[in-house]
Amino acid sequence: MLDEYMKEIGYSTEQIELIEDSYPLKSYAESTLLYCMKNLVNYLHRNTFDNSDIISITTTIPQIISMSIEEIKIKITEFIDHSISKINIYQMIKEYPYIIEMSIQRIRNKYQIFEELGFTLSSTNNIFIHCPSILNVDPSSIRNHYQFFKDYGYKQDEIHTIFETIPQLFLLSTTKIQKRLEEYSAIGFKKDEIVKITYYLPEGLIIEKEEIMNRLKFMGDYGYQLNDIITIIKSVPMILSDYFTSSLEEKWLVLEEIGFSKDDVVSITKQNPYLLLYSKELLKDNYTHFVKRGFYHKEVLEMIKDTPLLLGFHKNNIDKKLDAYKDFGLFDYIKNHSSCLLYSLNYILKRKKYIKNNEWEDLFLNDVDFHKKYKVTRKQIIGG
Amino acid sequence: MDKLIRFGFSIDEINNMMNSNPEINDISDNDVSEIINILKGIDCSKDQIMNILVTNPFVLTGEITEIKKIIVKFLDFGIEDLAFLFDTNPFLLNINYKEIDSTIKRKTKMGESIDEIKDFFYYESSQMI
Repeated sequence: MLDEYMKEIGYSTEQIELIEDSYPLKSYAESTLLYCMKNLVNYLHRNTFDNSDIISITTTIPQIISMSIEEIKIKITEFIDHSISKINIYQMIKEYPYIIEMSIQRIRNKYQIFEELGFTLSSTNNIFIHCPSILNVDPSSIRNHYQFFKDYGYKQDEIHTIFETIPQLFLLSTTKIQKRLEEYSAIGFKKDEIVKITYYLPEGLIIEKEEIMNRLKFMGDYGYQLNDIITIIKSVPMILSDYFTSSLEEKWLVLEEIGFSKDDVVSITKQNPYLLLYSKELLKDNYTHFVKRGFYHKEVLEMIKDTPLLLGFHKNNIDKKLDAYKDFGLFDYIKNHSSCLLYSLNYILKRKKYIKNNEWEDLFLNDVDFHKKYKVTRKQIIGG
Repeated sequence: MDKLIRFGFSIDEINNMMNSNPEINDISDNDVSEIINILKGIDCSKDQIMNILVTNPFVLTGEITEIKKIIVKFLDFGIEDLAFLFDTNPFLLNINYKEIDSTIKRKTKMGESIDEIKDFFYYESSQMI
């Protein structure tokens, strides 16, 4: 009767034998085992577990069949008391049935350790939900992993983010993690750069160096040299996050649509990697703004090639400068000296009272040359 | 985002900043106030603050201690017009403060004077991004 019941649920003959031969079930009478089995199956069916889940759980830990439903409910309640939803708890059990066997004290100890290490309850729960096997990791191992990252130079919030994103790191030996970090070092990144990079790409700590480089291969395919890619990552490591890598192609495309060649796109984004973080709409909008202000398309391209920072500057900021400099007849000068549009307007305009003979281009001299010509220092100019 | 709106940023500008730096979604008005106060503390005008934050929205989620280290490094070197400095190149607020020392050392070795190095920071620092 037990065999028939279990076959109805979907157990194979081998699975039935495994369960019947396991401890303590092998000492149970068939009728007792059938009773326990039916109880468990009914309970699990009522709580989102299907037959394949039940088979998986009971073949992983057959002794769950000998547990009373009350015992199982107590474990589940413990997690509910720590603010995990029932759905998530059931998912955790499906993924790692061993948590049902854990004592309440052991569960509470785990929460305590994470609290000790500064994790919020919400972060701790995220870690347990996404990697329930961590509940079985030795407490000293958890502390060691945390300390490993601290010793390397990660700050507390960086450690929390990394473990919350990739909780499986707790299951990886620190030797293996160290090896990954050394691989980044071998590529040419310094410690603080590695910390930044792995903060934005925590999965970089678990995948092979070759795979990381493969992920960046599409940048190489576009035309960036390896050194360019490394330079860009050092400046803007957040570019490694999925959010940005998935949108790189459309940004390259919009820059090409604006009129830059591929080589130009590589060049201007190398000089100002932040361009790769702006939305494509903003890139287009900022380019269009220069055209609206009276520059020809080719002039704008040359200005941005010369001064890539301009493509990210606040439109109002650019407007105020253009309005001011137009009055001095400097519009044409700016086309060929676009870096002038970077200089902060307040100070530049303070220089005008010192300029003689309408040599307004002198507004943009550096301080050393301005002092040579007009015998006045920055301090004096600011002081009025 | 109330603080940003009350400061004068448009919804479009805030959206653009969030697009570039999604972490802005998680910061509080207190965080925003702290950054704005630091910029006000170095005599940035409202226009300059808006330019800095729109051009470089990563300042809003930057580590305050790191930003202060950058400011102190420049002040120690004798760069007093920090408002000009960061308005001209808002990305200087993201660099590792140690890069300032290494740039000064490198240029000093090349024979540049203090004033010439200051000029580099004021007028050519886009090379440091």
